[in-house]
Amino acid sequence: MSFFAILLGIFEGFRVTFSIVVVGLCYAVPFAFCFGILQYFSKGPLYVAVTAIIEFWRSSPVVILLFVFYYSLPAFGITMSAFTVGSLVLGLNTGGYASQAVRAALQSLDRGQYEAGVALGLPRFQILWSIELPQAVVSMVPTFINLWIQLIKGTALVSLITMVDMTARAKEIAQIEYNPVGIYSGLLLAYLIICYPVTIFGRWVEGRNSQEKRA
Amino acid sequence: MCSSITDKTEVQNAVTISELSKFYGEFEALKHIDLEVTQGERVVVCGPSGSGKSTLIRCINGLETFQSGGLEIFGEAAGGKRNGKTDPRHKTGMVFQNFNLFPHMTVLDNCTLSPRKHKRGTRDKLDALALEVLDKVKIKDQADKYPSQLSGGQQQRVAIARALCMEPEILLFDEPTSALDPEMINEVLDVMVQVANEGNTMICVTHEMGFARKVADRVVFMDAGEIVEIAKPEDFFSTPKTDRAAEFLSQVL
Amino acid sequence: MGFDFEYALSIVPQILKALPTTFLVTVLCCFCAAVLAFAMEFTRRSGRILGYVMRFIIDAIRSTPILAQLYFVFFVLPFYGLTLPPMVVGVLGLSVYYSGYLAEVYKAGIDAIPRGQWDAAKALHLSRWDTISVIIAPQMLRNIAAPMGNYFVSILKATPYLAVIAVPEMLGEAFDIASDTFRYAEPILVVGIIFLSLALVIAQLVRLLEERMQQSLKR
Repeated sequence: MSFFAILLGIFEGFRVTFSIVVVGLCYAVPFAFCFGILQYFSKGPLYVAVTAIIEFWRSSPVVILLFVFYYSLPAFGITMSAFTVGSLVLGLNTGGYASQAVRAALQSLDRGQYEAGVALGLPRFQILWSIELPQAVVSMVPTFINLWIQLIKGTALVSLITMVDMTARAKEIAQIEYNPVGIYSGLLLAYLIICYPVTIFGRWVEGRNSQEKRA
Repeated sequence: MCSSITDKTEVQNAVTISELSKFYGEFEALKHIDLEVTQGERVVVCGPSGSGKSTLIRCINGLETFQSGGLEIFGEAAGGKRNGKTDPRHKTGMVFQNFNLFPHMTVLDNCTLSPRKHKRGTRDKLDALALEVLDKVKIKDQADKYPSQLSGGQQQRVAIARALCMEPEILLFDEPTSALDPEMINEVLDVMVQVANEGNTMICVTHEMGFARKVADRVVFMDAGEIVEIAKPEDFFSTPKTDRAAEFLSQVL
Repeated sequence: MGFDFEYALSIVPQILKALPTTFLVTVLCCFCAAVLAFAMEFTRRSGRILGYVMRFIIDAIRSTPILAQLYFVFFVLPFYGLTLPPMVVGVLGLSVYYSGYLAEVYKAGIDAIPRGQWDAAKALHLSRWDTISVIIAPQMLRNIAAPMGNYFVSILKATPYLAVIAVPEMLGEAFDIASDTFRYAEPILVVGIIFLSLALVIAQLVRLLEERMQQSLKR
């Protein structure tokens, strides 16, 4: 098998990798905004509850979360498909991190912005929606891009719960042909092809952001 | 070009700059600079901001590179290829506008760092030497403090002590009082006058015209990357030869 | 098959027996990654070509999954006749992966040091190594204590990856138990709870340490 054939074989798993990323983002982004904003606003018991949920998703090692959801939850009568477990766990883990970016971005805004909104007689939600969030989003973008890369890379883990993504394809090929160098450098290259442009894009955005701050 | 040509046989040139040019991209920051500074001479460089005066002294000790022209220190060419010899610029010491003390080291360690790294003696000997210098700049009692615990004027005096501890043959000052609060300027100038009176070769970029009058042998006036005028201070202040110098003087005095 | 709490409790000691391995791997990786990242970051800042090469290497490390990197090291090295114990392979793999991230952290820490510090070091005629080790590194470490602590916690949380290359850390131990008894639910959940509490406690410790450090710096 030529290196190119191996690479093509690995990319047969791209559909699964891609679907997990897309569905994962559908969990991650809403979670990040809902919980980030809730944590920013809430006090007392609500704050504790929100923080606990965020910390659960953020602080547990993602491999372990994946296995717990796949192997342990059925014992409590909750059974989900490997795809659901993969996208849910990877998505909410990423969302947990992203929620902290949302909260930090809101907190670092100049308080004068909020006061100006109050002075204009805007309701609290309106201030958040049309004054605070648009400004905060700009400073969240670099972190979001980094987390997006984390999510793409994280999908390699679904190969451990029976899904046939790119990593699993590499292992399948390894079973029919002894060529570890070709197969595993092909696997690294496959992810590099997907993630490297995003990494470079992230650097570009970051550079632009910090330039604007200086100007 | 300058008056010291007559006694050149007796006094060695500390710094010889010839035809030196520096570019930042298209922009010519220094244009064909010629300047000789003899040993023991005290030269004040002044001029409007952006005139290239800081760039010039940063070129002398190698903080900036230059594209053409020559720079000699005590007759040895600086920059370019090293040929295995120590760069003659090691004979220079520098005091910065923003002090640039090392915040994670005590005052004493700031002073002994360079001599220690160049193996000028045992730690005890170097500590004793540094304390002597700190005493001279009247800050010996702060030797164990960290820079952030000192006032701006005190920090700049430490920076001067740090430069002196290298026992340099040429001292460079880059606007040493520009970052200071007005009430702290004099304590630093006093120390600089004292250092000048000890016979050190000094090149000072400064706007302090009182200091220039008091200690300078010559004043170099720069504008737009060129040396416009070189004169003795009394001549420079009373009868500047060029309009640009006269205009500058009317603004700072 | 429901969840058997008694059984779950009974295997806790057996799983905790692997805790020292988890800690050992974590400490070794933190150390190796920190040192490696240091070398990488200063190479990136040095000569032109070498700097660009290192920049690509760092970005490439950050652009590929840790699992794929571990497989690569685990399966490719023996192909060239270099068979290392899984533990060594694991530490190597995790260290390389996190060195890519720590190099970025170092970069931010160095960029935050005022330009004048480099100027002063040069004006004092310090060598490049003295400048880095005596002037830049201490100030960099001061700037990055917080993110560095966070990455150390991340390394702890990444140790279960090593189960896939047969390093006997806690997750690996749990799978061993599971394959003996065919009960997966309990061992996995036990490991999960241990790791979550561990991560939370250590993150708290790191935060405390950070505050201490910040206070002692405000002299």
